This record gives sequence, C-alpha cells and structure tokens, in this order.
Amino acid sequence: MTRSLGVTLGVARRSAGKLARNPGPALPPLLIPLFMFAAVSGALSRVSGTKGFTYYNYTAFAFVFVLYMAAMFVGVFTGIEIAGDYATGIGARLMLAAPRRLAIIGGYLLTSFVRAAFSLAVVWAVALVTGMPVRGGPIDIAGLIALALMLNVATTLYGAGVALRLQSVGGGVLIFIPVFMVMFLTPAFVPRHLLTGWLNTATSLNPLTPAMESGRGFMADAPFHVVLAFAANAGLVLLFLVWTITGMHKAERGPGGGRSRRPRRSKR
Amino acid sequence: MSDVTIAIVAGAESGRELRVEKSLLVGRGPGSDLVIPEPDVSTRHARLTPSGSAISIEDLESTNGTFINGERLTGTRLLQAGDVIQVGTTTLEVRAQKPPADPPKPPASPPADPPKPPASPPADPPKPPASPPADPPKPPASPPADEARLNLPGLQLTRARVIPTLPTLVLVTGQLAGTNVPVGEQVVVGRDAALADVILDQDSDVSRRHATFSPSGDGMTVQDLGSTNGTFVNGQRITQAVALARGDQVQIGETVIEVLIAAQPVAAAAPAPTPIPEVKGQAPNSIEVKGLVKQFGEHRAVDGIDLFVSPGEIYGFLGPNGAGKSTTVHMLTTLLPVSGGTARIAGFDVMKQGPQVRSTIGVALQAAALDPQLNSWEHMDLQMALQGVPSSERKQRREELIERVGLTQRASRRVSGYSGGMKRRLDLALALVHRPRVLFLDEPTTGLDPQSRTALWEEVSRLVKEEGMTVFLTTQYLEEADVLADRVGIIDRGEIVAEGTPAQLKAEIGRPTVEVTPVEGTDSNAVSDVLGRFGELVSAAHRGVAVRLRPGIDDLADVVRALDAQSLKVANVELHAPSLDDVFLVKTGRSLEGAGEKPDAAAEPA
Amino acid sequence: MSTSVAVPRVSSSVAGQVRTIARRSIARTLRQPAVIIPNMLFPLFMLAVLSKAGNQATKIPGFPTKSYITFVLGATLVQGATSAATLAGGLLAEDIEGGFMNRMLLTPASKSVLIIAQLAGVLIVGFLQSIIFLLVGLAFGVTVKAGVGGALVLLAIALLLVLLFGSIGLFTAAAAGSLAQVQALTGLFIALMFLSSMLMPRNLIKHEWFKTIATYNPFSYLVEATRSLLVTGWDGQALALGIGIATGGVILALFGAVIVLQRTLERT
Repeated sequence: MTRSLGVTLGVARRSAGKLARNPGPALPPLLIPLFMFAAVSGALSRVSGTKGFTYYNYTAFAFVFVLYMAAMFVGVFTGIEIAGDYATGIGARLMLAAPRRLAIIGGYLLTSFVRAAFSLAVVWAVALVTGMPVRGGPIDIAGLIALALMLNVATTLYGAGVALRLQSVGGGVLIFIPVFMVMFLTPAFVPRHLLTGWLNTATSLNPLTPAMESGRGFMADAPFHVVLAFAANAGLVLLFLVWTITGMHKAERGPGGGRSRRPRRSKR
Repeated sequence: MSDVTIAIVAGAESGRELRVEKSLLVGRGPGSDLVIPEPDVSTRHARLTPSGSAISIEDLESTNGTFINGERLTGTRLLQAGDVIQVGTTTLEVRAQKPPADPPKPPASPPADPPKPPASPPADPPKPPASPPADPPKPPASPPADEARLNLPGLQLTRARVIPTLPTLVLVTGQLAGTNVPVGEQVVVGRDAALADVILDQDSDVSRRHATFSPSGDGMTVQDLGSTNGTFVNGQRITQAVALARGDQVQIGETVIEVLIAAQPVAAAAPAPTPIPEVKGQAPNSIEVKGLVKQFGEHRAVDGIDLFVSPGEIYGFLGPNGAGKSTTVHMLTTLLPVSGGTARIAGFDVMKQGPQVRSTIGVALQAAALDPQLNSWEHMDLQMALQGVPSSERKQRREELIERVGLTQRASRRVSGYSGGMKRRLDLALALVHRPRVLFLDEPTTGLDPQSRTALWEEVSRLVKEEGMTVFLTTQYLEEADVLADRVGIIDRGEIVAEGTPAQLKAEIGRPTVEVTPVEGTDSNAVSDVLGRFGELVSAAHRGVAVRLRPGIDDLADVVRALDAQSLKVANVELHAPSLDDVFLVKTGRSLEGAGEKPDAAAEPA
Repeated sequence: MSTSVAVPRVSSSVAGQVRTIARRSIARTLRQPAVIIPNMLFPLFMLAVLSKAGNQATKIPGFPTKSYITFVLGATLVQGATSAATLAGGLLAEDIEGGFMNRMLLTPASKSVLIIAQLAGVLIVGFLQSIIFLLVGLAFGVTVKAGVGGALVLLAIALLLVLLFGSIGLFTAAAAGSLAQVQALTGLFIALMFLSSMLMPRNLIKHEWFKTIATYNPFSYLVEATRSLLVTGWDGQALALGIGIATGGVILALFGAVIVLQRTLERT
C-alpha cells in the first residue's frame, strides 16, 4: 500500500512538475470554458427574456455548463497527457517500476483533480467578478462543486482508458471529441423543456443531463433531482473505472494481446 | 628523345605503342594521359617520365600497386628495354626504340602548332583567311580517315564537301580531320571504341561517350552526354539538346565539326573554324573550395577550408558529429549561404550561380526527406517534373532508377511503410533523376544494416565507374571512407586536419605491424630472423615477435608463407594496421569514434 | 554502341511547377481521412445542436429569421474553413521539419510556387466540405434568401475563406516552423468564433462589452457575409465587408508567408 501510494504521489509530482516548467498545456482547458462563458452569456443572454425561459438569470444558467466544461476539459487533457506518455515510452517505464499499475493512473487522477479544483476556482472568480447572481447557499454550492469534481474524475478515467488502449498521440482526438459532443447534447443553452425533436430525446437520455439540471438547481437554491444527479455521476465514475482497469490490462499484455505481464501471486 | 618505347601488350588498348616524350600520367581518371578504366587502377596510378635517354616510372601511391617484372614498385625506377610493367590487368612492355627505316610519316595528330584559341570569344564574327585559295579547299594534310575509328558500317564516307542527301558532320580538325560523317541515324561521338560510333581515342579531353548527333526532320540535333569537358556549339557550351543549322560549328575536345545540311556544295571560301575559347581552370565535374567559412553568430562552424575534388573521384569527408560536415554540404549544395571564401561546383559559383549549381548536382541529405503519404512512383514523378525532365523520358527513367535501387516490388506502397534502407535507396534514386554530374551524399548509410550499407556502396562505386560521376560523401564511419573514397578529408571543429588517400593518411602515421606468437617449443630467434626480412623488428607482447612492415609489403600471406617455409609453428598471427581513427587521434589528440559532440543547435542546419 | 540515352532537361514552367506541387498537395491531403473527417463532422455536429438549441433565440423580437439553422449555417461554413489553417500549415510544417522542403529547394522550382501551391489540397477539400455543409443544411430546412445565385456566391465566399485560413496556416508554419504552433491555431479560432456574432446578430446582443468585442472581431464580418446570403438576401455592405476582410487577410497572410519563407528557406 505504501509503495502504491509512493507511485501515485511520484506520478502526480512528475505531472505537476511538467506543468510548472511548461504551463502552456494548462491553458486550453481553462481558456476554452472562459471563452465559452463569455460567448454564451454575452451573445445569448437575451434568450432569458423569451417565453418559456423561467430560470432566474441567463449568466447563472450558462455558468453551470461552463463550470462542468472546465472540470471535464481538465480530465480530457489529462487523458491526452497519458496518451502522450505511453506513446513516448514513459508509460512503459512507469509500468515496469510500479508493483500495482493502477497506482500510476491514481497519480494522474490526483493531478487532474487538483488542476480541476484550480480551474473551478478561476471560473467562479471570473463569474462573480462579472456580477453573476448566486441564489444557492454554501451547501448548494458545495453540492455543485462536488458534481463538477465527480465529472472531472469520470472524464479523467475515460481518457485514461482510451490512452491505455491506443498508446498514441492520435488518441487525443478520440478523447476530446466524444466528451465535447456529450457536453453539447445536454441542455447547454436553454432548459430541456424548450428543446424539441431529437435534441430533446438526446438530452433526456444523456447521463450528464441530471448533473446539469441539478447544478442549476443548486445555483437557484431549488435543488432538483439531487440523488439522481449524484447517482448518475457515481455511475459514470464506476463505469469509467472499469474502463480504465480493463485498459490497463490491455496495456500490460502489450501489442498482440499476449498473456498478461502481471506477476502472478505464488500459491504456496 | 628516349631510346625506349612503351608498348601495351595486354589490356584494353593492346597493340598501342607510346612514345614518352613528356610526363605521362597513367590512371583510371579521365585526366590521365593513358586511361586504364579498371577498378583495380587508381585515379592517378603511376607516372612515366623521360629521363635523359631512358624512361623512369613512379608509382603514385596507388592502392593496388605498380609491378615491374613481378615486383611491386616503390619510389621511382628507371626502365630498361625488356622490363614488363603491370598496372591492373594491363601489361606494358618496355621496348628498345627501332631506328626509322622509312621517311617519317606525317604525324597522326594535328599540326604541331594548332591555332591558339583566344582567351575570350571574339567580339566580331570570324574573319575569312587573308588569301582565300582560288581552288576549292583541299582537306588538311592528315592521314586517310581511320575507318577502324568509325563504327558506321555501310555508310559511304567521302572527303568531298558536297553531301548528297543526309545532314553531315565534317570533321575539320582533330585526329579524324577531313572525314565526313552522314547522320542518317543517331551517331555517338566519344573516346571509347565500344561505346562510340565516331572514336576520338587520341584526345584525352573527349569522354568515353561524349555527345550524340541525331537526325531531326531535315536537320539534326546535338546533345551532350554529360561529358567531362563539354560540347560547344558556336562557342557556347550546351546543356541540353540543340538543333543545328547549316554552318554551325561543334567542338568536341580538339575536334571541330562543321555541320552541313541539305544537298549543296560548301562555299569555296569557307571560313576557318572559329577556335572555341578555352575556359581556363574549368573542370566541369569538379568541386573547388577555397577558404570556405560559415559563421553562425559568434560560432564558426566551418573555418576556412580548402579542398579540390577531381572529376570522377569519390571524396570522403570524415569527421565526428558537429565537425562541420553537414554545414559544408549545405553550403556546397546552395542550401546555406557562404559566410566567406568561395566554392565552385562544376565550374559554377555556389553564391552567384545557384540555379546552375543545382542543375548540375544531385543531393541525398542526412535525413531521407520523403513524403510518407506518397509512394516511390509519385516521388519520382514529382522530382522529375520539378527538375524539368521531359515527360517523354520520365517513364523509362523512373523505371530504370527504381529497378536499379531494388524498389520495384514495393514502389506502389506508401513511403510510410518503408524501412530505413528502402527510404535511403529511394532517396538516392531521387538524387539521380536528372543525371547530375556531381553527387553529394550526406551520411548516406547512417542507421542502415550492413547489407543495405554494402548495397549502397556498390551503387555509388558503379555510378563513378560507369557514369563518371564525382561523389562528395560525408560520413562518420571509418570503414565507409576506407572502402569507398579515393581521397579522404578529415574535418574537426570546422577545419580540415588531414587530407589524402586512405593509404597515404595511414602511411603517414606508421606502417602496419605483424605480431607473431610462436607455439611452445618454437625457436623465437628463428621466427625473428624470418620476420626481419619483412621490415624492422619492434617490441612485442610477452613471447611474441613483431615486425613493422616496410613499404611495399602489406600482405600477411607473404609472412605466413615465409614462416611455413621454415616449418616454424605459430599460435597466432595478427596484423595491426593503422586506421583512420589513428590518423584522427594523431592529428587531434582525440579518437574519431566517440569524438562526436552534440552539435550546436545554432551551428548545424536542421 | 550507344546504350542508355542521357536525359535532356527542359526548364519547368511556372504552370508546370504549380501543377506538380498541387498534385502532390491534393494527394497528401486526401490521404489523411483521420484529419479530414473530424474536421468535417465537428462543424456538422455543432450545426445540428445549435439549430435545435438556438431555436428559442428566434423568439427574440427583431430576430431576422424563424429558422435558427439558417441563421447559424453561415457560421458553420466559416468554422469549417478554419480547419484549412491546421491542414495547410501542418503539411508545410511537416515539410520543413522533415527536410522535404530542402529536397524541393534543390530543384529549379521557385520558392513562391513551392509555398503557394501547397494550398491546392486544402482548397479542394475545403470546397467539397462547403458543398456538403450547404447540402446538409438544405436537407434540414435551410433556405437561401438570395436564391441560386446567392448559393453560388456563398460557395465562392467559402472558397475564399478556405484560402484565407489556409494562408494563415502557411504563414504560421513559416514563422513558427513547428507543427505544435500551427495546431494551437485551432484553439484561437474557436475562441474568436465564439466571441463573434456567430450566435446572435450584433444589434440584438444585450451586453455592450460583448457587442464591442464582436464589432472589433473580424470573424463577425466573415460570418455576417455568409449569413446575409442565407437570411437577408443581397446585402451589399455585409458582403463587401466580409469579402474585403477575407481578401485583405489572404493578401497579407500569403505575402507574409512568402516573405518569411524566402528568408528562412535559404537558397542561393
């Protein structure tokens, strides 16, 4: 256990050190949501005056989407980092050193979590500076942030699973695009009841939608489907944890899918 | 005048007799007086020099040696009648000069004082002779056309200057002066009897396959075949096929050829052929570098190097990483401007005549720069199109080159699926599409397996031997320089620290040493006596006997045979020959292998 | 007797050089479906989502059309054209980094031709892409207010936009010399797109700060030019501004790329 913790902390330290020396890669997951926030709240705020839109403030409405985007994009870019490490052979080196390989992913997860917390803080600060009204109390806001961080964990695990399977930088596209698409298949710009046709159906089936709506409920001090939201997010975390574990097994087997290279415990 | 002559009794020019009235260079290179085109013959192999009434011979540090009466020649030696000289597979015999029985025949070569060409083309049109003859001009006093030098069976050759039907070449000066050659089909002019139709074998300025004349409609065209010294039409050197008109004058070596087209007599007062101006110092296949400098900021990557590469030579440029090899190549191939000094490739200045340089050279750079999305055919098509190869020639040319580099089976696959060796071979083929005269190879075998490396060496050797190409090769592999290069320049930290043939360079620092370990019970003194015949005894390891071989003895077999002849049993025989690494070590105090430093990012080109 | 004939050389004309390099550019571009397809699918996805999610905006008084998909198709065409930057710039950066540019510099081909003819591939792909976007839009109810002629002009503007962004990509590759810098353009263009009048007409933007940003953002004029043909009909001012900015951008970017590359790609 101690050794695994050491691996986790070692990988996390390395990841953090890389960012400290070269902070460039940290910017896109932070800046894109901020641009989106400016664009959506700036361009579409008049939608709040249309019939059917009953939320208390459009900026606050858009804010939840942007907050989740910030958390999830950190996960996406962490997945891309893992893909890069495996493509260059560093991943293989880590796997040789670590007795329990999942501890490696634990390290990336830890860094992603911390970066996400930082991104969330920045997005919150920007939103408050622009005068966004917040009706929810501290527990509501804590709930919102918890949902965001759970989405960060789920996305990081998804990205890790893809990276472990593909082990190439080209896998970055397969991490980014599905997450992006899933995010936009939520009530991103208007509430679900104002969506029609296939988009309404898609958002209803999207496991991200409960978190989106519940988060807005927290912001408005009107909790909505809280249990469903946390259950859905927990389900996503579990699903992608399995995805990552099976990905690690594939990575251990190496190309060609031979027998697992994991050492077997002696039966004696 | 000497009392002896040299007769070629075996080899390519068997039956020829040479009078050595001035220094005569024997070698493989086209600059030699007696050219022996054999792989065992060095570019500059030996020299025959009149010495009073005798002839002396000097071996010029040839790789495979010059043998006199079966003994390898070292230094200079006076020849006597009856001596037999062996150079490669060519045998020369020294014969006593016979007193002339008949009046001397007119010389086979042009008059002793041919008109000297002016230093620059004349500004005015050529003037007719001061007193034009009243009668139609007689052909110059020269022997009858040597029909052995004309591989044109069935053609009617005349001396008259009235040509019945076909466009005709009139050889006005040179060894076949007075000969008319109708051009009904393609006619090749050259020095090699096996390859040419009109053979100018006594003119060393003529290449083996020099130029072709081809009928074209009612007229004809002339095309230079990549000759060493060029083909000139009306004083202008040609680089592509040129249509000829009546009265045009073509010069090949010393031979001036007048073009006659259509059935009409030539005017009685034909003007004297315009002497083609001699362009001094131009050696079309050569590389001349003087004081070449490349500065990157404060750093001098190349610090004033001089070198000259003769036509048809393979010049090896050897040095560790970061020495300045690639920077030098980039300057010579016009990819980097020069900071100081001059460089001329095939006579063209790299700074002022960049386009001309590029049309003359082929380049395979350090990285086989290929497009992973294209296949070999597409690469070839792209390269030929950009190089201006006519579309009618492209299909044949690309098939020929792809086959030559052994890529036919995989030519339709994209380069992304090629191995390193395959990429290198394609890279070489691309460098050759436009038949360059000078080929630059920048570390061509780096990263290749031994088999691919050997194949590439063979191809480079073939290019030089068969096509007369000049090759400038940079390498950090000693063996490559040793095997391939005629001469080697060793560069370190931007300066040339040593230059010469591999044998010369190694000889500079010492002769090979043979070390013998006798078996238990064998008389070491007896072994020493035997070895002592081969050179100077030197200190050896415990129980061993070592001798530093004297010049002329390089073969271990002789030593072994001598020991065997005395029934001396030995446990081990080793030959320690100096290597180019030893040369580098002596010159720089460092070993070449492992001397590579990380190239300065600002210094070396990407 | 004579063996193989020496190959005579003729000087390759500019037209011939352009043809040769363009052929290669097209082959290279079309052989990278992994790059082309995502660049095509992503804008189509955004079109699909926005066309439904943005419908509420059509209820804003003064909104110029009842069909949000018609409104946003112009922006989709612009967004699609931006991928030409990474495609063209990426191919040029690969040529420079990989040494293939040196190979071409050793031929008689002129440097300007070597650079500009690289655009051939992206122009073909970009043009085909624009046709696909228009056809998909028409299939899902888009109407072209300017008629058939307007549709043709729309495609011509789309081609001009591909040329614009391709030139920007070339300039970036020339100036930066690395693939990473070229790929960073994607994020920049996403940000500029969202900070434009892509989602809402400028006159209906509620927040002055956003309206100012959109007014100074050249992307707004590109979007408005394409949108005008779909929504308004023949709007001379919008067309003139959009075409003018695009043309000016092409000239500047191409000129800049040629100047920079003339210096960086040394050849005597």
